[in-house]
Amino acid sequence: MHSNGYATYVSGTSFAAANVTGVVSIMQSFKTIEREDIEGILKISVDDKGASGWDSLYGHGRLNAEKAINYLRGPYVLSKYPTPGNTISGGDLGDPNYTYLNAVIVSGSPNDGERWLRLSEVHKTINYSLPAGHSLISVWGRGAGDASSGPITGWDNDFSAYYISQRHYTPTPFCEVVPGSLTSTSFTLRTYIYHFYNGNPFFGGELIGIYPSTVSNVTNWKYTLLTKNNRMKFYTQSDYMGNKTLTFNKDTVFVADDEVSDFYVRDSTKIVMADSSILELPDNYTLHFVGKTTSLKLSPHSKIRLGENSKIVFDSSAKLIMNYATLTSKDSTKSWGGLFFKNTSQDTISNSKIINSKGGINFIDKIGTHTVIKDNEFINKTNEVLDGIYAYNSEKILIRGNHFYAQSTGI
Amino acid sequence: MLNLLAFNNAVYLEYCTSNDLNVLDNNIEDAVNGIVDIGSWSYIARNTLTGLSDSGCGITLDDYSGIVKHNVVTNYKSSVFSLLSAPYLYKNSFQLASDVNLDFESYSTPLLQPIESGVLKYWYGGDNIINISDDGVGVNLLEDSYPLLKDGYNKFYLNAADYFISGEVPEEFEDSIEVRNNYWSTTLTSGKFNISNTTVKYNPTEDGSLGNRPHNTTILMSIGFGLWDTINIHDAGDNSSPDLFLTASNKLIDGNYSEAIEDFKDIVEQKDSNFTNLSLKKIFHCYERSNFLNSNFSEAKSFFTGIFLDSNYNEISRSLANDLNLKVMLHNSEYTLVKEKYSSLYLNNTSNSLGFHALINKTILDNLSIVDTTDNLSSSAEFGDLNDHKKTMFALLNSNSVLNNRSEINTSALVKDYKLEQNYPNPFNPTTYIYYELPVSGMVSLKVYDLLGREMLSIVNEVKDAGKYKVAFDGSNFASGVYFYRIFSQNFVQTKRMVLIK
Repeated sequence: MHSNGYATYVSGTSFAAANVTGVVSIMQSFKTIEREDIEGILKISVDDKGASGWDSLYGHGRLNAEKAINYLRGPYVLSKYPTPGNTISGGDLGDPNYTYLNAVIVSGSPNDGERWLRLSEVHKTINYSLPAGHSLISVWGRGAGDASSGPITGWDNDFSAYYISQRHYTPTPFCEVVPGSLTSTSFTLRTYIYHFYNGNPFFGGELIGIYPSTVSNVTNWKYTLLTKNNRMKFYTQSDYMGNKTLTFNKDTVFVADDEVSDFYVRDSTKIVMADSSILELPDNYTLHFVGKTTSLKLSPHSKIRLGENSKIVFDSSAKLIMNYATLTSKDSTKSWGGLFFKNTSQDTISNSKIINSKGGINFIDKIGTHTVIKDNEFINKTNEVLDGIYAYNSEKILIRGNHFYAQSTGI
Repeated sequence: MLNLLAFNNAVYLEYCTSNDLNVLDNNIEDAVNGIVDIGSWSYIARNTLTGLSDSGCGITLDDYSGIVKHNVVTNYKSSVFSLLSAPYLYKNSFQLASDVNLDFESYSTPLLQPIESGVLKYWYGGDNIINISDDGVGVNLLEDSYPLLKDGYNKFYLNAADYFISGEVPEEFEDSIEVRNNYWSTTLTSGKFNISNTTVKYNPTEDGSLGNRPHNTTILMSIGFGLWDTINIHDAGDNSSPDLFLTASNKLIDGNYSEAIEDFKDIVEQKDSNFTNLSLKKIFHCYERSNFLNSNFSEAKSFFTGIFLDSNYNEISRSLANDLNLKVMLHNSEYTLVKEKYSSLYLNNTSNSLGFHALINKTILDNLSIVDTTDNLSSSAEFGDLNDHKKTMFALLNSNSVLNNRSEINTSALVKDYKLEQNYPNPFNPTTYIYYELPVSGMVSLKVYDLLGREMLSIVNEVKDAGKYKVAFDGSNFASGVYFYRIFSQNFVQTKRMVLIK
């Protein structure tokens, strides 16, 4: 902003830093998170600009604040892990791959003289498995530590009297994922150990200090997995009462809690299952929709998978609208209870698949507005005999263009 | 092995109102029964129903008087089974039913012909294809059923030495049954009809041709949902007023229910018209469509009760009126009383189709209406009971002779349940076979009874091991007619019907 009140285009690292600070403070207001997590999220929350990946003009890219904040809430989950053990991958004196020698001259008391530096790279391979239904978005290290499970505290105690003293060390020394090491089951973390000599170690220089700890003391690693929970819990009962609209995210599996056997959606609550979302109900479960203007809408490609004997019941004018969606059993060769409508109106079930519904679709006392069951497939993949469409004391129902057939599960 | 048996009843409508209730364009495969309509009068059109061969029924109708047109029904044991129904059957194709193709029982009066008035022809019915497979029967008439077939231009295809039409007609129509102007695939002789108590009127010079089904105009009938049914009309230019049944039918289509009721009542009062019984059904239809003219149940009840009590009417009209009165009472929530009436109707007719009809309706009310205290049907229709109810009804419908449980498709070698199969062949002369299955060993009694419930023969009466059995029944010493066979074993009792035709 210019002093005359007009906006002026500015650019550069220092201006970007102000923006990043803003985003970080928003992130911290969402959740108490560690510095390394903020960094890990910021790195993947950029819209890449300029050359692909990092480049000198844009760095990692332009920060997308919305993206960064979204990673802090459902369906994304930050899981933090410590893990013990290490592997010294290199750094032995003479190892050309991991030994870098530099000479520095330090002037002045009390450590006047020549100093040599040797670098050792320490690895830890982590085997990981994701929680059921999660997918991995990113992984980053949060530091390496010593055997006491805290961060590495600095110089090996034997050398603590030397010039580079403890107070200069960061409390959580750096560790990172070795580029290219990430597979679907494992990745490798690395950190570095610096050895200081008072002369060229190949010509008799003595080891005078180790930063930040000895290699063998790097026995504790911390890392964070950012995952996306594709199986969201089907919230608590109180979320489904009161006049509100709940949207089930795209490409996400919502799993009903099997601690209850009846779940009620009422008081004008509307559930919208977005494109390709999935709701999973356990065995012997009944999902009720009750009351006028309470409704369930299944968008195209959304799906409800029901356990054995599980039912969905619409009562007292609650409404179902589904188009190009699927109702099926959890186990493709087993059946589920059925779909029941009592005193409902204006339901629409079209272009959809009703698979393995033991009780089929049932209408009781459906009087009044029109209901359409059109162009659906009723498929039986089980060895049981199922019911189709049943209506009792009802009117104004169009049952049109539906296809009823058996299908071998082998197909 | 792929189990093709997928559905019990694909579409099952029970006590619904005919108000915009449509079953259209569905493709139903792998179901024992395709469409079942009990007292719902749905509009059933352009469906393709493919059965499981030698079992089940394509379209099952009880107390139905709606329109069934342009359906293709193939490979069921029966294409249509009708109790107390008056369906308008137009341009359907009933193919390869393994037993009776069209089975009309208990006061059914199906319309398989246009409604004609002078030179006007309204194609509400007719022009059906009835393809009869080996050992099958085209149309079977039982217990006071009477089809309207004259000038129907229906095409009957007969491949074997069986019958186009068999059974019996009501006493009131004993003089003759008119079947002129239909197409018969073989040279027509009286031997192709096996109707025990009447003369079949056909005209060899006109019959046997594929005939002409002219129409030069149409009317549209709204069926709701913005959909319209087209009814083909042939109008040869006569300007005289059409007959009353046609006038009344057109008023019904136009939604002019109160005038239509008056016209249909006039037809009923004539007593001897072919359309008397259809008109009775239509009167109910008009009352229902008009929501009983602002709940005018008493008018409807007194009309139907009047017919029922008037001995000047024939038995068919009186029975239909009685049944329609019960349906009016159902609309008026008099469930307990209706249930009692169906119970007593059943007890007085335990071994005939009317009794079967009463049992169907009694069972629905037993299962779904409580209701000795409140007569509140809705509150009784609990979902937990609903699946049991559907199961009971499916078993009940399948216990009828035309429906069959599918032992052929059961790939299990073990016998899990008691089972009494339909005899084969049926109808038969003089020998038929009865199959039954026992899951456990025990005393078995298998007896044959006549229509009046008199025991005619004991076929099995001994202890049998678990397993599948086949026994022969020789009817050489029995007269032609309907017989029942009943099995008793442990707590299992089942009765089925067979027809001996000599």
